[in-house]
Amino acid sequence: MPVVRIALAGNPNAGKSTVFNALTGARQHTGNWPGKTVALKTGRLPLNSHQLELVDLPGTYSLNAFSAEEVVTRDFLLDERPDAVVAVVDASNLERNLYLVMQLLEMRVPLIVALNMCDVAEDRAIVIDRARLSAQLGGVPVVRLVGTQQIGLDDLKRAILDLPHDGHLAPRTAELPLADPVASEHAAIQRLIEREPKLAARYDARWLALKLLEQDEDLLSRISEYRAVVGAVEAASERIRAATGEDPDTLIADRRYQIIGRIAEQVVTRQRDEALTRSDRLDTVLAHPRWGVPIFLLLMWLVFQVTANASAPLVDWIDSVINGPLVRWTRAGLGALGLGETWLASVIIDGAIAGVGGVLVFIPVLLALFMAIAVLEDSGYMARAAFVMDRFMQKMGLHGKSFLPLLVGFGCTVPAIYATRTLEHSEDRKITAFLTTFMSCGARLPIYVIFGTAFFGGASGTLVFAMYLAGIGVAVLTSLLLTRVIYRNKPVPPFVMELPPYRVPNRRTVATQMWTQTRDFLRRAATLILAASLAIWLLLALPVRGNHRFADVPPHDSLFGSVSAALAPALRPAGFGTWQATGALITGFSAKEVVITTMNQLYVGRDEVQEEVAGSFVDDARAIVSGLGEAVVLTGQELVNIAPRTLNVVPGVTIPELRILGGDTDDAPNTSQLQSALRGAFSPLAAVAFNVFVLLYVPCIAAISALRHEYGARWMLIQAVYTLGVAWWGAILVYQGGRLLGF
Amino acid sequence: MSAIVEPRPTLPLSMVASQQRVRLVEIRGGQRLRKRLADLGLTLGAPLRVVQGNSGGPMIVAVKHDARMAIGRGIAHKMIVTLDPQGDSAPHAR
Repeated sequence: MPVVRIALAGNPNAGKSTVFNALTGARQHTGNWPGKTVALKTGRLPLNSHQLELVDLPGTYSLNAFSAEEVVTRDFLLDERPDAVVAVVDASNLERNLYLVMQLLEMRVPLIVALNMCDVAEDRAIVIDRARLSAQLGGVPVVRLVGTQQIGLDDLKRAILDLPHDGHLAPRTAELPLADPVASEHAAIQRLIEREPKLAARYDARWLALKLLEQDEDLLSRISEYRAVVGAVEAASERIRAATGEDPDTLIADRRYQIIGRIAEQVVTRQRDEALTRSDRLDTVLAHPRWGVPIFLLLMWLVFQVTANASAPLVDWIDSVINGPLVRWTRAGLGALGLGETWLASVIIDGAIAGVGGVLVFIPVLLALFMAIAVLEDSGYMARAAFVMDRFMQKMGLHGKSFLPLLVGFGCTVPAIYATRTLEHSEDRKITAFLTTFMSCGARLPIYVIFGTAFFGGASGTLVFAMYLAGIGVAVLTSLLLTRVIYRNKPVPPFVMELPPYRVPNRRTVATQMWTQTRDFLRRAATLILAASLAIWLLLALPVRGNHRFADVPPHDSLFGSVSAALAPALRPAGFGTWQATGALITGFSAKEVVITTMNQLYVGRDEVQEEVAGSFVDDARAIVSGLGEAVVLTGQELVNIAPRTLNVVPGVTIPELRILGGDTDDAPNTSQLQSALRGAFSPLAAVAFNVFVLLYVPCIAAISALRHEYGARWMLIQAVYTLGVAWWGAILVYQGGRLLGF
Repeated sequence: MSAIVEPRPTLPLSMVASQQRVRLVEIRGGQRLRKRLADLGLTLGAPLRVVQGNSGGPMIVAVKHDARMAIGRGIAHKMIVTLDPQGDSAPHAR
């Protein structure tokens, strides 16, 4: 089957990823803020006798090769030569979107214009004459699409099939009619290029001449050996500047917009002139100079209430299923096979189930967190968060746009580091990527939750919130250090950013994002965490002291125990200089959630001798189902109780919380074995110090390697040393300071 | 600098109040900044409408009718505009 390669190009926010998903059914990440897709994603789609390979290019406003996305997009079009390009265009924002379409036409790529978000345009009484638009663009097919509702996909597929796929340049469609003196200078450079056989074979001469006149740095360096061409471009630019007083690139960009303006006048009809759209009216509140920041903070508070408290009943339910019936059935099964008290049973129960299970219980927490982030992104609010936080970010020496990667960092540090590619200046990118690790990621959340509920019961949400705030505080100080001291001469970054219109979050997009991100987490739980669990089990099984057999060692006499014990004194000033805590932190390098895995094995796993009377299978199943029902009711109750809990923060206000089930769930003695073990091992103050250390120390291997991938080994090493130092001092400061204050 | 010679007074975009319609006449910045702004639709002669201004922080500007741009103070100081009584619907000719 012949493979036809189709690239999807378009402005950020034109709904490109939604169209990609709708076409391929590929489950991948889409978001409603500028520059979400930074790496190339591909998906396959059989179509009649063809096999379509779709490539989702990063969202760009132009093909100038300024930002990393533009470089990726243009290199792909230039070097990979896709069989066709689908330009996904936001119909509700046609004029601005046509700028990229013009540049694609100039490149002579075989093009299809997909007018997306037609529902939004029609809602705002914007009517587009598609036939006329197609004619104005030189006969390029124009298809009507509503990606979120999967409308128009068949028309798009038909248009793709109808294109000739012979790998040749598209016939000259719409040319950019230049005006003198640019036109004549351009023609002269084009002739010069046509005389260089290698250049003429590699590039479209007309396009190359235009780009060179636009001072395209990337292309100028690509053709630097053709001295005559470079010299002619310089001379021509000088003459144009002398004649018009403008740089050629300005004149060319103006010309494009002039043509676009004329096209828009002919094809767009506005049936009502809305000076203030619905989005504008919402922005008078949400992006208000004074109220914007408090509203943002309130939203963040709600997000953390939902993730930390509302998910708790489901967490308890999963915990009870894994540690109850699952362990019992496994043990019974192993016993039936005659493996009851062997080391194999220990590997499976104390290693694999205790380790992976200890992390799996946090699926509800992560689902809630990823849902919250997805809703904020898809609604368009994320860009407003950057807007209202700009003033604050300027004080940190960065600008509002740096805030987006930092927000993503609350989900996971790895995509956050890649999201820094959307920033224009390399120093800003480096600094922002450096800071993402202090945005407490989803993997650290379970640790706070387990310590929070163990030590502070109902106030666990407060510990979680305090950790997030502490992370932000350290990020601010670090940013000041970097921008004011180390990169003192860094130019003040310009802040220009598109604010996409608000929309009701698309259920499919939110669900996809929740699922893919949780799935990534589960995959890690299945591979990395399982491997870490087994490695820890093995290290724990190897005796180095005393007279023990393999797999029958008190943890302290194991290899793991002796290494941890050797390092533990360094953490004594922070209040948790035990070998168990040290060991847990060491294993946290592989992934932060592994800290819980290790703690489960050290504090609970091996000396767990439960001689429970195994209930019948039916009893267990019944208990699981009724437990789930109870958990769902409790979740609803917790959600309702966010309101009184939030209002109760105001001094003098006391609103009772709703209690349908379980009396007071908060103060009920927590039965989790790990939590009671932790209460024995840590003082409350040491627990807080430990959490501070977890928050701040070196991020996981995945994040560290992402940083190396983007910014090199040196920056990675600096970050590793810095985070370790900050974590150590931070934890000591909390512990010793707390003691002085009498805690 | 600009080819437009207009008698109307000019002022930085940062000084323009909400709901005013203006026209961009000069960008006091290097080629990089000018190109970046052009990509977003902010070219010389472009009609703009300030949706949210005079806050001391970034402003929101309507560009090409339907796009909304957040523009930081720093850049708004460098974008010189004239007040434009004709408004958004004026032709683009320079």
